[in-house]
Amino acid sequence: MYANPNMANAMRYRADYHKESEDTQPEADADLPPPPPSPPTSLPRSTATPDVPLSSPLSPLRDIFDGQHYRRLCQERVSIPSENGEDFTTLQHLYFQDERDVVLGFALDRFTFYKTLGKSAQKTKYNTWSLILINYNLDPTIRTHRKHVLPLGMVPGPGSPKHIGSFLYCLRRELIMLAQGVSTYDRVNHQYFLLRAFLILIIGDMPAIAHIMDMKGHIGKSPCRACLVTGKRDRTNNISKIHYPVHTDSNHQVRHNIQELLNTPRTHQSFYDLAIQIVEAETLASADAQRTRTGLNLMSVLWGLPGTSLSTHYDAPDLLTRY
Amino acid sequence: MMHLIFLPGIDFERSFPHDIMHLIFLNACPNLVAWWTGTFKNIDTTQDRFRISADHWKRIGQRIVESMELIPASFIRQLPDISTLGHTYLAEGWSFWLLHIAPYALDGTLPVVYYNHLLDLASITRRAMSYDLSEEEALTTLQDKCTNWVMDYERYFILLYILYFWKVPLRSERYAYNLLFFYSDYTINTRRNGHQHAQQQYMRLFTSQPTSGIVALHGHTGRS
Repeated sequence: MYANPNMANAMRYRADYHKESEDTQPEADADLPPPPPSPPTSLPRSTATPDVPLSSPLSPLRDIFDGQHYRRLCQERVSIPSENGEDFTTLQHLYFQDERDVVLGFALDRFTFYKTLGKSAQKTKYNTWSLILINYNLDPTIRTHRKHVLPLGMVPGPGSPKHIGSFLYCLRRELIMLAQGVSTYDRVNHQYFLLRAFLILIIGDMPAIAHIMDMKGHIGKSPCRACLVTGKRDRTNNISKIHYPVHTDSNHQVRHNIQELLNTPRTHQSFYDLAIQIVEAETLASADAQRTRTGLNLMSVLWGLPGTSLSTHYDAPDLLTRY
Repeated sequence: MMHLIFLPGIDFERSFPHDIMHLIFLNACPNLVAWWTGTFKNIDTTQDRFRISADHWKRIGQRIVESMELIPASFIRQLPDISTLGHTYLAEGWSFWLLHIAPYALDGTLPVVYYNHLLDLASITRRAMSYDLSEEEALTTLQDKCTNWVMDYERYFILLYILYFWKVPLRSERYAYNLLFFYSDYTINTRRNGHQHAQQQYMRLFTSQPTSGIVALHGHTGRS
């Protein structure tokens, strides 16, 4: 990327964007936060960290760089899991500290690649998955053009992959390398530097996101990835689908107060806690009940394990190495 | 999941955004049309007031097709007839339909409450797509509007179905009261005030005349 001067100049869009917004709001440039404490016990980013002082809540949201997630990351130090996932190493640099750091977005979708065979279109519809990376350092007008999109791979069909995480293993390994930095030649400044790239955004429709988050999907009992709304099975006919009504139940009450649901969202930490609960479940049946209740799947963690070892204690590194 | 949750930069709360294309253009818009034309999940809506007859819907579709030759190509490509080829609409087509066609084409067709409900969706979408939307506004005003829209959607369209689904005894004496109550404002206060308020609300909402067609003449000014 940075070996080509044209491309290197085009990828200065993020740095220019920051300069532009700093010119309009000079007070936005805050001093660096103090170094974080020793490596955390559970997760590098927990919800216990106080909310970022939003630099400018009234400025318009024009790009991904105005979002809370990006702005929060900009004030944190990079923390990566070690090779076997035993602990986390907090590095010295902040996220997106260098103006050449790359913001990446991962997009996945299913589409009809092969010619549909047979009479039933449903059987052969959506037979392939495509995985691409989008380079957010480029200008929004060109970042989704075909020559700037980075194709990662395709998952051949027919049918969805049973476990999409295994297709992402190489991506995960390379992203951890890129978070530490890869030595690259900068053609514009004529020097070697550490190129860093961070994946901060994942885009897809509901089934795709459900796949990659290992959730039950949009027909589950607790399907939403943002809140803990629950459904109610419709027993009045044989189709017996699950509905998610807000208003009434048989006692003529409001089932869900939307405002309350919005006030208690799912967080990074809560996802992790729920996953740990499933893995630590005593029996298969209770694990299944947990899955239904939480909407998480996590089937893949348990695959290939003898039934007796289910009751043993798994912690984060164990999950990673067994994956 | 476990291979992603430890990645630097990934936050399970914020890294998986919901997008407007799948939520509004490919979900809410086709669903509304399906309700009006009576094709929503085989639910019988022949008696409902929001129902648009097949003839009328065909006429609306022809009017849209006729107007297409007057719309510059920089706005939208040629949209097909929504009454026959509605399933071929892409997100782009639904977006233009919601923001620029439906408020005019359906004025005078739907009852006031349903028409205003549609205008609410159009204004939410227009605001969400505008470039000067600030974070403050998105988290307060716009979020409240979306919440109200969802509550209204359920109240106006599927409440009868939900009553059936929760096995509230139909044709009982309480049924009429329940219906009035659920169609009324959904607060505990209203509940205490009881029957009379609910009945007034019902009369105001569901026996009103359709809009007069003034909006089509004088431009889209919001609620008529």
